[in-house]
Amino acid sequence: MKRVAVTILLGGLSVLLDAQPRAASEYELKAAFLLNFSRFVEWPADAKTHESFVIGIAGNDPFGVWLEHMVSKQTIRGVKADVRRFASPKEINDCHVLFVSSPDEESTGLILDAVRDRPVLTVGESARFRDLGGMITFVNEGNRIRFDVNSEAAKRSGLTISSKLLHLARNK
Amino acid sequence: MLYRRRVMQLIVLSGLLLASQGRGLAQAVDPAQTLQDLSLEDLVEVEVTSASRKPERPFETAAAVFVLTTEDIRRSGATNLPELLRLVPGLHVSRIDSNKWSIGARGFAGRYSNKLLVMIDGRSVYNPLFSGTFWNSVDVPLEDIQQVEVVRGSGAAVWGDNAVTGIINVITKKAHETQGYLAATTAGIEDPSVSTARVGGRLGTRVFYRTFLRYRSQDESRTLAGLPAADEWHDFRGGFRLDWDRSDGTSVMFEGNAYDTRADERLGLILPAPPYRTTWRGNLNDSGVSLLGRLARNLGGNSDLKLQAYIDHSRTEAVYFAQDLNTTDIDFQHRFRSRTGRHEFVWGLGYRISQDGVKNTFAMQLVPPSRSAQLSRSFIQDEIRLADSNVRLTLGSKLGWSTYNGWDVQPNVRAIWTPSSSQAFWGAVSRSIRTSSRIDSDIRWTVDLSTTSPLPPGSPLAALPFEQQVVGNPDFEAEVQKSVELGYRRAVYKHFTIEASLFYNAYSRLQASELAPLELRTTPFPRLTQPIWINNSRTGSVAGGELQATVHPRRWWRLHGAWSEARRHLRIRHPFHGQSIQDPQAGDASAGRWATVQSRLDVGRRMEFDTAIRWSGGVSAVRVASYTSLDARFGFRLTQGLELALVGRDLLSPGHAEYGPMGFDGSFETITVRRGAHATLTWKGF
Repeated sequence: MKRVAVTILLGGLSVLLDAQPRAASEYELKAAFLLNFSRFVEWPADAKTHESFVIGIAGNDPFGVWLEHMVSKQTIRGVKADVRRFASPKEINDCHVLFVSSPDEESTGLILDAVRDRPVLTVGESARFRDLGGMITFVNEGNRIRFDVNSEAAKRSGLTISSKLLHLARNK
Repeated sequence: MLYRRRVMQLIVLSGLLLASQGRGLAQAVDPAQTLQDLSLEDLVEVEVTSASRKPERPFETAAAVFVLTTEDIRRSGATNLPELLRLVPGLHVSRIDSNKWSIGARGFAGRYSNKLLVMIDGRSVYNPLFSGTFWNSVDVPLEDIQQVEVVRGSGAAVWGDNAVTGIINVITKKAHETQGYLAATTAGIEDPSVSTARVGGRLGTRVFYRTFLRYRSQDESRTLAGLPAADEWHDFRGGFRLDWDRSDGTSVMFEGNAYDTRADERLGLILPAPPYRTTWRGNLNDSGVSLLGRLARNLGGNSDLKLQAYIDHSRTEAVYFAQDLNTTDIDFQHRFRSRTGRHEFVWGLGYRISQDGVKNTFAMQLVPPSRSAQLSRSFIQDEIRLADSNVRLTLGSKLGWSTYNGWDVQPNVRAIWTPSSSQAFWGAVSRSIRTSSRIDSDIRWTVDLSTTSPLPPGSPLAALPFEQQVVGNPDFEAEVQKSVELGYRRAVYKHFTIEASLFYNAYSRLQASELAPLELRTTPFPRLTQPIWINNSRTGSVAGGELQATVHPRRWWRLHGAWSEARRHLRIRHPFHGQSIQDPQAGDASAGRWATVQSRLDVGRRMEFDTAIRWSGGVSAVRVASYTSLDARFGFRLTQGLELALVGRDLLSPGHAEYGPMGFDGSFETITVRRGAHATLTWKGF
């Protein structure tokens, strides 16, 4: 019954909105950013090169379908990309990019501690993410998404952030 | 208006669209593909137009909204939800005794604040029998709360029933965010002892759960005269939440709660035999179980669906009354955006059935003793972004039907103008109703029985016992509020924001009571009865506003201040049977004005020092004078994951009163809220 209802609605919707949306939702856009950042960051040569490029999500996953959707269609740095979700800091293992969505400072701290001094590009969105040692922080500015870069933190972990990314950062 | 028509078509013809389902599923739109090909330079220029998976930013909402965040909650020093709500601008919170609170907004408050909707994860905890919230039965662990959204005023059409002067929406954390272990214990002087244990884990790659147990005990307080108030409170509860976020955009959530709470009370009890009145000390046992399931599906960047259902059983037992209540509620919501992104529609359907069975006693009865009440609701709302301007217009209406009140329409129109990203003006006009409760309609409550007859001595009936009985009105109509609101928000500069809201609420058909002609009753024994009829004869208006400011003078220092004002002008119109016995102003125990100032200070990396000063004007209806109180909290991060908080409450004076008996409800005495302190140790680990 539930299934029928959902199908009916889906059908109805497709008739109603039979075109591609022209606007991007917040996390759709953030997912695109996340993939794009990897083009402007150099990981140290001794960083474990997996068969895949791993994007980790610590805590709640706000991306819905978007990240996996994009990842499935793309290679990053010549290898296929993979999304992993970590429910707790102790689960966090080797990844290249780690997105931290937790709004709570304490958990954010615990998560950042788990990857401190390892070559992991940490990306977050909470107000104090940068202060807690996060590398890239998304900032909503009006209707647009901008980001701040903490290149010191990146350097400590052995990552090199290209000047182009720094130039586009809000805090350039 | 083309889209509006299409929406109507969709609703009416959805059954016929079954044929197109193949097309609907096959047409997997892939906007991500184009977006990911953009360069970083282009990405920073893309506009975000959909926040459908996230609530609106409070700054851009055309309503008086306030959000308590996880951080606000952690640093509040509160041990339960009512005490936490003291920090919300515009809510007037008074402690009635150790286990009862009065919480209201915009001029109405009381033990039964019947115009305020309270929801926990979408489950209404508004008791339809008493029309109000029993705060002791909704003691959610504060550690589990993601945020508390409070809307003052009638809110938008999307909210549930009886959201007249406000909505308190408690949203708990998703199970992903409460992984690992948590143990917290609180011990205090005058303050409660609370122990909470929580475990979170995962059952699959995308399936997470948490489960908790919590025990609270609160000692009895003292009355104004210094006597024990007989209001001890013991509460034991547990619950779980399970979240499954599938990669296809579907998320499933299950949540269950069970509680057993024992709140002591002492009250004057009416007996059907001489001496007729006695004082009884006993307890009100309340227990309940609820189970909620929710299915949410993201259908792409601009539409989502939500289907939610819950069942809730509760049992209240006291010597004078007992009640079993079963509620089943189903709710469906669909949100989508038009192709151009200018319209955002939300529509929904809901149905609730509450069945109760009561154990009547001589003094307190509901007639009939068992009843089932149904409530059907539907709503539609269109949020329109007006072309080439920063104005958004929201048109919406609820259409509902209830067993007690029949059909009702609750329309609202809202507009917000954001001339820049740092400034917003908003306004709203709405009509909302408070539906009848079982009490309004069916109660028979003997509030007094004595040998003192109002008849002149010598008259033949003067020797009979004399009873005063509140009698419900089966024709009681829904209370109506018509409201006009205005608001302004401004980020003066990055670290200084102010917000002001004004309201004028006109009321008709508010509940009141009047004296009916005397009756001679013979069963179970002969007596003269003065019926007190419940009617809809109160009318008038409440006007006021709230002003608040937040300042971050330094990165480690945050100040927040709020001033709230609500002026009541209520009167009684044409009582039908006789004289009104109610002071029209006295029906509600909200102060006319109240204020708070909070400071939050980070001392280094490991310490926090937070203070809050609260002031409330006097409330004549409950004979309470104005008071000022100061709360302080020292937080220490001992090691990673271990936190100690020392909290002092009401530090300025040894004690003050906040509430007293009002109307016929004499189930408590005025207590002294005394200075108190507690320490809370919280450990989080993996």
